[in-house]
Amino acid sequence: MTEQYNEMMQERLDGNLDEQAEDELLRHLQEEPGAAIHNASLEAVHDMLVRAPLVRAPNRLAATIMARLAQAVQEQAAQQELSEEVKQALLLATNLVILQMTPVLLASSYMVMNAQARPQALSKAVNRTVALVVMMIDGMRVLFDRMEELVDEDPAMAPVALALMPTVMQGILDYMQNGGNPLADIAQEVDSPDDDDDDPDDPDSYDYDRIGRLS
Amino acid sequence: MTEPDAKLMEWILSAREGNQDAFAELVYSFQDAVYNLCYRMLGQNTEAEDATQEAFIRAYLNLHRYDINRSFKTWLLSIASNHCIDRLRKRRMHFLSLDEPLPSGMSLALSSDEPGPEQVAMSNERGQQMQLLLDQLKPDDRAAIIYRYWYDYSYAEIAEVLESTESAIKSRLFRARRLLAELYQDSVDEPADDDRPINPRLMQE
Repeated sequence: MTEQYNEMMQERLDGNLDEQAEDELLRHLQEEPGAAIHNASLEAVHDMLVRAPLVRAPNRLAATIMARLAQAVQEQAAQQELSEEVKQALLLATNLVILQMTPVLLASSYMVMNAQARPQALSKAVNRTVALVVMMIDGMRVLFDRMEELVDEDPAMAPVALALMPTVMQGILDYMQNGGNPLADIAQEVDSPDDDDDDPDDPDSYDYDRIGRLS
Repeated sequence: MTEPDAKLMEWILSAREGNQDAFAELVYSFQDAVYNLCYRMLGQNTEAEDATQEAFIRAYLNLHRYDINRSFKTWLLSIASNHCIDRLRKRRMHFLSLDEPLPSGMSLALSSDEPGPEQVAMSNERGQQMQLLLDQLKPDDRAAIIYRYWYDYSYAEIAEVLESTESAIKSRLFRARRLLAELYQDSVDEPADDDRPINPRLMQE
């Protein structure tokens, strides 16, 4: 019952109490001092809320907002993400590079395993494998640099940038076919263990930047 | 469409196209409404200014999501109140504990038989007094009270802004007003005491 009268007090504050219910409430308040005190507190709070002023914004606020907005817009433009299409193209390019280089890495691993019986051949095989990995990283770096340049100029160029990938890979293959194959002589050594171990090609002298120039 | 409405729509559409001058007109038109909401929600000038700036920036960046069939002011205020509610929740998580006493000057002494100088000064600032009470409410309840009294929103309009139902808003308002009345009554019954611990009922989420 008390809860009902409490609700009626609130409805009255919002102007939603009809005349009959209001009379009933007023009778209740006369009979119950505790309810009357609560009602007086509610009315006091209601009165304070109604009279509380609207706080005006400081004079400089609008100018500050506009300055911050200009900065936010600038930052948003700078951080604008690549479109989904561009991201997919870059992801595909990366995966293709990894996929194409996998057989080369496998062959290299195979050479290392077969050269284990001959310490000098093993040493060369490891050196050449490192040279191969460096060559691959160099090639991928060049590829990504070129793709980034293209995409920066025009995001729609991302799919076109994929065409760079086979070019770089072709460069690596050409390099290997034209006597630069770091696996060829080590493979020969593993097959012919009596051959002279001296290798005219010092692994340290590999031109690691060659792939860069190919692109 | 009345003349001011047509002008408002022109500014909104132009701002949507990236015209910051048009958005500046919207800022000038609504900065008081947004600032008052943020001030009443947060209770501090500096934080209210920061929240107002944030609300307008969010509004600009999300203008393309604004439904032109709805009231722009309501949409803008809803961004501001949601932002303030988030701030209050974070603030509460960081700073409040059940044992923490009310900060100095935050006592709820609103009146007594023999008011002291501080109380006299406070009684001259009814808005400030009200703010001390408002600060004791939970963020959602505070927002409902502010929309009801400062913006004269109906239950239905408050429900729309706070993404709730009319009946839920009504009970929220009743609960908040009852709590304010009890706090008011306590402050009348007891003289101010800065060391008094915060009312545990207020901490219930």
